[in-house]
Amino acid sequence: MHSTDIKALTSKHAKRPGFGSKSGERTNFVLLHSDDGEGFDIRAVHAKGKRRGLGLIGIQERLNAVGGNLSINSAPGRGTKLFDSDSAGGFQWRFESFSPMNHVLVRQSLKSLLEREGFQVVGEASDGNEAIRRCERHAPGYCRDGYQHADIEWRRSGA
Amino acid sequence: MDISMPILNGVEVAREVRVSSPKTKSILLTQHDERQYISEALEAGVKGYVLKSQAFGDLVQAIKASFARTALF
Repeated sequence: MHSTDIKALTSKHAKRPGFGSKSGERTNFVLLHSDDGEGFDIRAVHAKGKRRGLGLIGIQERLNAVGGNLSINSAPGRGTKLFDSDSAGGFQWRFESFSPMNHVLVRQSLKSLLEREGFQVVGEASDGNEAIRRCERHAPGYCRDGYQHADIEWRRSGA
Repeated sequence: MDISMPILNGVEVAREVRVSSPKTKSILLTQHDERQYISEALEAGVKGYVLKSQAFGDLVQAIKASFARTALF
């Protein structure tokens, strides 16, 4: 993952206190997420296999795409840390809450899922009104909405 | 559907899309599994209701069920 990817992921929330990024010249990086939230049972998440959290799937897929490897350090009541264990340093960023990235990551995860299944994602919308406008414009076969209005329109490839 | 969102919630969007884009089918992806929300979704013409926790297993199935003109709830 290049720094531009992370900036793209975080740009919507860059004004949040304590939330930001700094980039280095090297493409290797340590991706660090650290929070003092409720945490979770890592073994339980892995036991779910492909049904695990959409946000984690999104992070993992983007790291895997550039040869990285997601490592998770978390336990119930002890917060969560995420980092790229293959990193040699050079890029580091942190934020205080996992929730700001969630909507973007959820959309990206769903987009990846649908494209793997042969669907073409023709647009995304960040709220209900935009979803309606895009449906009118593109007349997609389907309009998925619901998760914090993180909307995606899609149609079958070639349809 | 997140009913706490301002302006338009997922069911309202689905209801509007059914009118403004009749060929578009809507599938709700939500964390709510209460009967009330499912009933509202059915009334709005939603073709699928998928829990976020089950998205990877059920979303594609819901879409394919819609292709087959059946609903998945």
